[in-house]
Amino acid sequence: MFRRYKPFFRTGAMNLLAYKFQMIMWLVISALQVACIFFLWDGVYKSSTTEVINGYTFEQMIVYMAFVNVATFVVLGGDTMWTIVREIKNGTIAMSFVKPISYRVRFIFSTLGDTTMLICLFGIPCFTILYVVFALIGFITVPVWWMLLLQILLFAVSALLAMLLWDCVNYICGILCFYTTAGWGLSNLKDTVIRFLSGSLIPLAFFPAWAEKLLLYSPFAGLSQNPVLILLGRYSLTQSLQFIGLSFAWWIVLEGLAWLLFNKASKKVTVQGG
Amino acid sequence: MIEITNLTKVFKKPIRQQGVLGMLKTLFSTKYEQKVAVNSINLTIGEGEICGYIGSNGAGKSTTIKMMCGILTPTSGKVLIDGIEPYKNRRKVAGKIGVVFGQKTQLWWDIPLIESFKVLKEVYQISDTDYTERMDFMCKTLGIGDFLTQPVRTLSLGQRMRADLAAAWLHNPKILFLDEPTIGLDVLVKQSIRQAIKEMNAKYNTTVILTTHDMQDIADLCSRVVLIEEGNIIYDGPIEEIRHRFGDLRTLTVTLSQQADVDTLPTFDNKVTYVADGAKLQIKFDAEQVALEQMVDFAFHTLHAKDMSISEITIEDVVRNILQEQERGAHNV
Repeated sequence: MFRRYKPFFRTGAMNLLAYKFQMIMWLVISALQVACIFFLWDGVYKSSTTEVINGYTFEQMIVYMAFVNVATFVVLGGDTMWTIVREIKNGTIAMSFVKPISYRVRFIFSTLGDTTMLICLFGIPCFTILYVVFALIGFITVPVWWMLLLQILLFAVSALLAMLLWDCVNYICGILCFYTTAGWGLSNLKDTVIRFLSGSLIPLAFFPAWAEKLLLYSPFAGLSQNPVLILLGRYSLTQSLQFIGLSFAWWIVLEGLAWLLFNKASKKVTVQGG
Repeated sequence: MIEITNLTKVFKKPIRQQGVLGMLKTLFSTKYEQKVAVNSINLTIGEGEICGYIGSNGAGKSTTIKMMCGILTPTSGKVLIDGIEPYKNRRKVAGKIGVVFGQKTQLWWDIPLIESFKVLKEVYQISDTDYTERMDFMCKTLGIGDFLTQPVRTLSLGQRMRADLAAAWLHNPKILFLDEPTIGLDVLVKQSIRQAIKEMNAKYNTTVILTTHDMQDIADLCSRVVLIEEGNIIYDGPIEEIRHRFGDLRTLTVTLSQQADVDTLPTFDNKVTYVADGAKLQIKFDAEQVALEQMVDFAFHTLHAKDMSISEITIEDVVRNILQEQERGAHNV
């Protein structure tokens, strides 16, 4: 059934290799960011009267910020939105409509290819190094081996869901560009909102209690915070499974929304030029 | 095979005003103007036909083609391809049709041509034997073998168009939609594309729907011509009938040393008409009634022409003639 989509998985993976330079740049920027975050939180904790702020010790905070940075970069990838915007702008979307494949599934596979490549090349080495270093300097208490294995497994599942959720949000934003050509603004808005609400800027525990509760059950928490906290073992097994189930439910809901939106928008499509 | 009933497409365009102030007004205005691109047309095309779909720019050709292949949804009326409405069931129809838009490419820009074909092979789930057979056929007819390993962005327009035709046909569709496949190409490439279309039609019974501005394409390929103007079909029938109705009209343009007096020139039994424009003289005649040789001879020896050129009837001439004829018909009634 999905054999038709194999080439899109492959081209997604190959596309990523074309952006070697971008990855190196990200490493440099990210290292600077982590340094900033370190000193920022250092200042916050030193001036604080308590050792634990909103449930995080200084060590836990640094570990969280480091992991969430890598996870956001590695898992939330793919250029679904930009591909759609480009196809709308130059009219090649017409050619996509006459192929015997689903417009949506095609993007899932190309993002899967892209992300798989990124995880293998970048995610796994980065996570391993971070984990080992933090364990050696005592920032992380390593659990028994089967517990660690379980955490990694649950993280893998929640990261896959985070990727699918993210890609679906991108797809929806892309489809919205059928109506407006303001792709750049929409993309920035989406990135900023998600960065703030998903816990990749600060942990959701820093929001007011009611907002934290709301966000934990929104699709946003499943994008960054929850996968990382699952990996770091801050959630119990039941909690982890609950959040994974929730992400899955949100994914289904968003895909349904995307499907409805596409059906409506594609009737309105006017192909540019020719 | 293809059935079109009362097909209509209306585009809604926001009314834009000129200037900076006008643009600001447009920002808040919700006024639209309606443009009828295709006006309730009916058309049936059978299997194995090569049908020329012609008309001037903006007549509604491309819009109709886009509705036939499911890219655009009609405002009203419907299209049936093998009993399926393409815009409602894109994926089901996709395997039955192949599309070439002369202005756009469906090939992947940065990868070698052969890789694009391999992607299409997987997308359309083409078996290895079919793939090899069809690639051989296309290397022979379209000569794409010479540049298979080059990235698409390095191909010339002629090469790219041949590659695009090959890509559209790779899954052996029952219907091939070609929207201006010969636009901007030189005579040799045009010929090779026409030859390939003919062979596909003969060997695989592919139905072809072709839009073009080149009368030669129509004359070479099409058994049937559909003429559209301002969204209405104004002629549907065999190409011979157009020929028969309007003859094989030619215009001989000659440059003389001074302006000719049109009234004194011989009319060859009212078969030739003249239009003078300075030193240039247009001589219009029907090549079936007056021999071309005779006119050239006349232009050189009697008129002492310094330069000359001959042009055939164009699509625009045909459209104009048919419209004039209809107008006359309307007056007579």
